[in-house]
Amino acid sequence: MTRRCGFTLVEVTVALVVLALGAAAVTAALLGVGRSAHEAQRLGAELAALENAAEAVRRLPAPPPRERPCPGLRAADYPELGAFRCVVRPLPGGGRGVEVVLLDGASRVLAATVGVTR
Amino acid sequence: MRNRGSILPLVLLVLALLFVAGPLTLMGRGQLRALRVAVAERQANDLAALALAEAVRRPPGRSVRLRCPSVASRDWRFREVRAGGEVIGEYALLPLRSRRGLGRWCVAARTAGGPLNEGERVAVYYRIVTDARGNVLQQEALR
Repeated sequence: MTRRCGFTLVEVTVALVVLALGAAAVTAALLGVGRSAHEAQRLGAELAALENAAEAVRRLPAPPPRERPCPGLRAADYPELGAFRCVVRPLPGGGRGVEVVLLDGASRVLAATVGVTR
Repeated sequence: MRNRGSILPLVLLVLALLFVAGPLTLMGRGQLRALRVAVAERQANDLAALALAEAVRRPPGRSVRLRCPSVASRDWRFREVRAGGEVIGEYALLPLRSRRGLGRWCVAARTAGGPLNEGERVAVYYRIVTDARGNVLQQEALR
């Protein structure tokens, strides 16, 4: 009787299915890690920009009468946010409050907070 | 005789990657959540600062309140604040009875949990003592 060598078709199919599932899971997980890292960078930059803008607003003597660029905030310092601009607007009702808004190239709101002038 | 290979190394590699990528994903999610909460916390504290600025601008009449209400109380009267055209959150301000020249306030602020707040609801409650110019002398978180 001759000795059987190699794998049957069923064995090879099962092995390929298991490998394909594993590879799919690994790929999905690695893509998720990449996305999370990108999102974390964006959030970190957003937080830093909002904090710096709100701090700079504190040094303004009074709220601006109309929308103006955030004082002392350069978009180049936050490359993770892409091309964005930061504006300060007076809050309705007067007072020392202003809104601090980060806008993307299409003027969509990226992030916002409120600030208080001196 | 021809050498027969084995798929064992490949299987081990896939398994090893699975065991590394899974925890990495979980860690990434945790870090993301922490950053989202940090953004919302910043906004809540900015709203509280706005409430205090409002207090200093419009000194209240004589208050009979001695203590801040509990965080779940209906005594807090929240006022909505919008930024960038959307609701960012709301704040409430209650004056406490205080000595002449001092201001004592209960301040609450909370984010709306919308897209501006990265979906996170964060609330902060403080008891604050100010001088006559509105400078914060003491700030204590309420529970």
